[in-house]
Amino acid sequence: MRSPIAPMTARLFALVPLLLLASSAAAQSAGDYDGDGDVDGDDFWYWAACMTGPAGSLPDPNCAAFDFDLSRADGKVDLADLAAFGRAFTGSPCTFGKKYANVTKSASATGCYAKIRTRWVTLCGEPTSKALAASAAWAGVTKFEGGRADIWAQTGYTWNRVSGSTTVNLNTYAETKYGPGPLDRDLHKGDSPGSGVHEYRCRLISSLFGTWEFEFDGLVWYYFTHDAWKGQTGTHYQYTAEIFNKEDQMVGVQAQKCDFTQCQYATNWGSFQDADITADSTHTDDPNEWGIERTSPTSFNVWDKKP
Amino acid sequence: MTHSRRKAVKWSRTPGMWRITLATLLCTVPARGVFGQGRTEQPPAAQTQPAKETGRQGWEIQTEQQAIAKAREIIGLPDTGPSKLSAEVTTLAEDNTPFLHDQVTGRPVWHIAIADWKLELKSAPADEHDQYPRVFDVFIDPTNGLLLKAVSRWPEGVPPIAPEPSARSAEEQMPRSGLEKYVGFPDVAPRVRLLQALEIVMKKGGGNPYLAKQIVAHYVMQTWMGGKPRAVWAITLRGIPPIEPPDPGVSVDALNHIRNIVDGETGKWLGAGTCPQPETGAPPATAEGAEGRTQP
Repeated sequence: MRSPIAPMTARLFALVPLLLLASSAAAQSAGDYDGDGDVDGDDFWYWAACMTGPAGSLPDPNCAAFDFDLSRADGKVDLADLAAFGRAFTGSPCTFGKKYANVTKSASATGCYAKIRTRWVTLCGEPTSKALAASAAWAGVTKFEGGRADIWAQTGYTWNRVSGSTTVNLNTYAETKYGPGPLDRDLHKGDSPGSGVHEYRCRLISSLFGTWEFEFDGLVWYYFTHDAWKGQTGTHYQYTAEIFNKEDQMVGVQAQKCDFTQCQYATNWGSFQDADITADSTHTDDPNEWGIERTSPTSFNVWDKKP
Repeated sequence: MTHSRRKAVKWSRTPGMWRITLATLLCTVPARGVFGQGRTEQPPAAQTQPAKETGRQGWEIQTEQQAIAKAREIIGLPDTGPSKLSAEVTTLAEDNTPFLHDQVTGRPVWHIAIADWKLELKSAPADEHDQYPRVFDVFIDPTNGLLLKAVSRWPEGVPPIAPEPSARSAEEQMPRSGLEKYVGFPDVAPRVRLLQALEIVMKKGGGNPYLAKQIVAHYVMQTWMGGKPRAVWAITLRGIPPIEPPDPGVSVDALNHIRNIVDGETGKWLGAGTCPQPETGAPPATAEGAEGRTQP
């Protein structure tokens, strides 16, 4: 019988430094339990659940990734495989955790508009990593209540890679959160915006029905309607650069910053007005990593300082 | 630039407020009250009953061989593709194709099963391969040889995800998202084959078919953003890795599926989205440790 996962995992994690010492430079598919192209702590997390001991059988087909001596067809995951796992341990090039550089202003917002330049980026571990990664730039409206953001609407572009594939895509997108429920989320992707500067606008066009309208370069391309937005407004409007992993490149570099220009917002279903960006409305999660500078009341730049 | 998006936009901008009224009329949805079903095991790939043969008079597809040949044609199966195909006449006791299920259930259809198939897409990176052995169930209207749906079976031994929404739920959700409806089945076969459509999906970023545990494909007449009906492939990739890291309180089931729309005539990728979401009252399967949104 296998030991309980948590205590076993804790004991095995104590061996991580030894595994790292034993790791080889070459990546191997063996050991890659989650199939994301690397052998790292995420894979090691599953080790305990896969351990069969000398007499067991694999509890899950993916556990075969840990059966390094499978060529001898022993069909077991035991301590004899642990050293081989250590040699395969490559570590992940991606440290998960969303990071932001943005402008946030408070208002009873019902719309947001910006011209955003498309900047090419490199996602963590490109071109070989298969870890989930993204770098996005967007304009949007959020309603914060009690420190939570249960409803928001945003539109912009995103470089994105899903777990399990090396393919990176560039898409425009519109996203709406419409409540605190676990499924209250709508994401709609469009084609690549292409290079250059493009206009992104979202606005709540119906208070009565809670309908959002999304525009790209002045043309409406998507509506989303939900009761959760009936009679609601945001509490803030935002212009944001966002990444999923610390190593994902945020849009822009020192020499070619990503400029958000002609930033505007609307309140109470009225017409759009200038964003009135101030220095204290800019924010970066780490000024040493990601820069942000106000350039006018309606424009600012962001860039990755260590791309 | 997406030609299709511009087309849709042109349609959407002209009529003004009546369109909003239409949108809102279509969107009188009881937001969460209808969601109450818990996570369930995946239903069988096809709930079928032996068809009551009432004769095949007027059928365009008369024989098993014709049915298999038609399925090969619609999918675009290469001669070197899977060889284990079988066909039988059956009746679908249940179907959840939004807006069109009444045209599918309770009538004789050809059911072609394609076994031992792994997708091979040219647009995929060379070192990436289909993760699942596929068994596809293809359903064809015997009277005209046109596709009703093609669905791959959930892989054996793979834990289930939240089930697809019922037709009723999908019909409530889709008009809220781009005013979308399926208004019928096209009366001609798609110029773009299913495999070509999957190539386009792989290329354009609407999810990776190789990573999908299940692929559900419909060829339908769709209306979008108030535009005229157009013949499209609607291809849902189910059981894909989350397309975004779930924020606290957001279920993986909100992010592990995506439905792509590909123009059946031109092959243009028209977009992709998470609508319709599953129905579930199950506790959220949130990702521990995922960071939330930035605070102002």
